[in-house]
Amino acid sequence: MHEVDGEKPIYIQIADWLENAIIDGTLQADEKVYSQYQLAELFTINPATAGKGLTILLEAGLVYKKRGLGTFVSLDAQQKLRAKRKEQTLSKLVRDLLHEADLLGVHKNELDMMIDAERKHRKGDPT
Amino acid sequence: MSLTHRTAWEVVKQQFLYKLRSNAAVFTVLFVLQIISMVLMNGAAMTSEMGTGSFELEWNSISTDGVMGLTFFWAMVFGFLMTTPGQRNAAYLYVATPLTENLANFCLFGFASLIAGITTVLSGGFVKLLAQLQDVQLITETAGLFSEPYQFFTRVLAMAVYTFLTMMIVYTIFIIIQRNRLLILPFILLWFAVSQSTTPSNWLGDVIDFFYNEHSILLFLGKAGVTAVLMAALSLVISKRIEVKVS
Amino acid sequence: MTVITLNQVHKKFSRIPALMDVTFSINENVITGVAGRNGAGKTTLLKMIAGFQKTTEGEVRVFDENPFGSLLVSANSIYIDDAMSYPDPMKLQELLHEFKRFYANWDEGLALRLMEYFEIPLDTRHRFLSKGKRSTFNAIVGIAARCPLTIFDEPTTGMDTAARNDFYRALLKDYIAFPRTILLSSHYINEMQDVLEDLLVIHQKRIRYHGSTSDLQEAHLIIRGTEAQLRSATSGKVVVSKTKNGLQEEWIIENDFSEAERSMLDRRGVKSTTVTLNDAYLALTEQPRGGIDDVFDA
Repeated sequence: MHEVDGEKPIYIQIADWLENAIIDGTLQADEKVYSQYQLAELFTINPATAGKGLTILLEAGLVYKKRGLGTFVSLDAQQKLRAKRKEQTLSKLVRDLLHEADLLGVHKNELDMMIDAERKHRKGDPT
Repeated sequence: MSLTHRTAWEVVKQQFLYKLRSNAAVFTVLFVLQIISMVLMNGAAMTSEMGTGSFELEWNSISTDGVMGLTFFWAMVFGFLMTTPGQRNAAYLYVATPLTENLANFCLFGFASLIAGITTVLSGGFVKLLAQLQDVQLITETAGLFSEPYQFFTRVLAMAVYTFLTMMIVYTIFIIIQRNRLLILPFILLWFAVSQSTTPSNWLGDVIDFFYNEHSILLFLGKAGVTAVLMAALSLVISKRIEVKVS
Repeated sequence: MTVITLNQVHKKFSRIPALMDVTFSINENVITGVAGRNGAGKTTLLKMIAGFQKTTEGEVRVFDENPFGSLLVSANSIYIDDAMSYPDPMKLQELLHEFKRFYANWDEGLALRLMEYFEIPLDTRHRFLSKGKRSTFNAIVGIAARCPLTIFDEPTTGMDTAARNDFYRALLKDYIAFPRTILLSSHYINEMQDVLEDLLVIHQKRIRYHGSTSDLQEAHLIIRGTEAQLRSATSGKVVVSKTKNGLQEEWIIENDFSEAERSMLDRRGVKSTTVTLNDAYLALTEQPRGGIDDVFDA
C-alpha cells in the first residue's frame, strides 16, 4: 500500500487509488465500485479505513449509493476528476517543472522542444 | 454481537477433565510411590516377640501403614501443587473464574482421593499376597473385597475421605499463603510448635483423634464433611482475591 | 454498542502506580491498537480488561460486567500473550482440542489449516517450538477462537517478517468474515497500523491518545527548511519535536493550519507534509527521532 505515498493517511491513499481507477477507465460510469470489505481485503487494511476512503468519493459526488446494491461510479465522475486533476495536480507539476527549468537555466524554446520530443516518444510507444 | 452464556457447572466439568488430562502424571506418581512402599514394606515387616522363659511366641506383622503414609504425603504435595501460579495460569488459558477453578480442583481432589483409597486398600491385598508367597502360616486381619465387601468399601471410603481432607487442608493453607506470602510464617511457627511439643496429649493429637478415633461411620463422615466444606469456603473466599498471570 | 468501559481506573502494584486515571471506552467490533513504550502500562491494562487483575481504584466494565472473576467475560474473551503457560505434557493437538471444548465459536478447520500453512506439527509440544513458532501457535489460537473480545498482547514477538504479515492478514480476513472487538498491542506501530481503526496510546501510565489512526496522523505536520525559516513559520504553533535531516531541519508540529496558512508555508519555501502514524506516535510518547545525536554532541 505504501508505495504510493507512505505519508498520506491510508484512507486518502484508498481514495486516490479509486480516483485513478476512474480516470484511467478501469472503473466505468455506472459500474459497481469495490465495497469497503473488498477494499479492506485487497489492501489488508481495516474496513473502517476503506470506508472512509469511499466516503471521500461519495461526498465529492464521484460515486453514488444504491440501497442494498452497493456503490456505483457517477456518470460525470471521470469528467469531474479530470477537471480537478488539471486544476490541482497538473498545475502543480507545471509549477515544479518551471521552477526546475529556471534553476537549470532552461529557456522556453528548449523546454518546448523537450516536451515535443517526449510526446513523439510516447506516440511511438504502443502503450 | 452474540455472547455465549455458560453455566459455572459446565465450565467446572470441562476444567475438571482438562486438569485430569494435564495432570495425568500425578496419578502415575501415586502408583509408583505405592508400589515402592509395598516392596520396601515387605522387607521391613515388624517382628515382635513375647515370652515368659519357657514359652516364647514370635510373629511378623505386616501392615499397609507405609503405603498410607506415602499416600498422605502424595496428597499433601498434590494439594500444594494445585495452588501454584503455574496451575492457575494453565487453567486461565481457557474459560475459568475463581469459582470454577476451585470447584474443578475440589472435583479433582475427590477423584484423586477415590483412586488413592482404592489403590491403598488393594495394596493391602498385594502385601498379603507377597507375604503369603514367603510365609505359610498366616492369619489375616484385613478385609478382602469378596470375603467382606462391606468392610472393604468402608476401608476405601475411610481412606478416600482422609486423603481428601489432607488435600483440602493443604490446599487451603497454600491458597492463604498464595494470597499473602508473609502468612507462611504463622504456619511454620505452628509446625515447629507441634513437632517440638513432647506432651503426648497435644492439641494436634486431639485434632487427629477427632477424625481417626471415630467409630461411627456416619459421625465420621459428618465431621469430615463439615471440615471439607469449611476448607472449601475458606479457599474460595480467599482465592476470589487472587490475581492471575501476574508476571 | 460499548464493549469495554474504564472509568478513572488506577492500578498499583504494592504502592507503585502502574496505571493512573484511565478513562475510555471501546465500541463493538473495533480493532484498537494499544501502543506505548516499555513499562508504559499496556500489559496491565489488557490484563485488567481480560479479568485477570483487579483495579486498585475506579471501575472496569466488559460486556457490562466487572471482568474480574466474571464467567461471561471469560467465556467470551481470549487473551494471547507471549507467556502462555500450556501444561507441559500436552501436545499441540491436545491443546487445540481443549480450546474446541471451551470456546463456543472455535473453528477447528481454520485452526488446522493455519497450523498446516505455518508448518507447525500437531504432535509436538509448545516448548519444543522455536520462539517465532510459539508466537505463531498462540496467534492461531487467538484467531480461531473467534471470541467477541480478542486480546493480543505483543502477538508477533519472535515472528519473522513473513509470518508477521501473514498473521495480520489472517486476522483481518477472519475479522471481516466474523467481526469482533480486537485489542492489539505492539511496540511497532508500522506493522499493525493498516489493520487498526483506532489507536490507544499510553504514555507514562496515562492515556495520551485515544481515537482513529488517521485523526492522529492528520493532527500533526512535518515541516522542512532552515532553522530560521521554520522558526518564523511556527510562531504561535506547538512544536512537538525537532530533528536534523542532512542540512535541513525537520520539525513535527501540531496541525492547526488552515489552507491559507499552509500555502503561506509553501511560499516561504517551507515544505510541509503529513506525518506517518509512527512519527505521530513517537512524537506523542516523546521518543525523539534521531535524538540520540544529542548524546554524542554533548
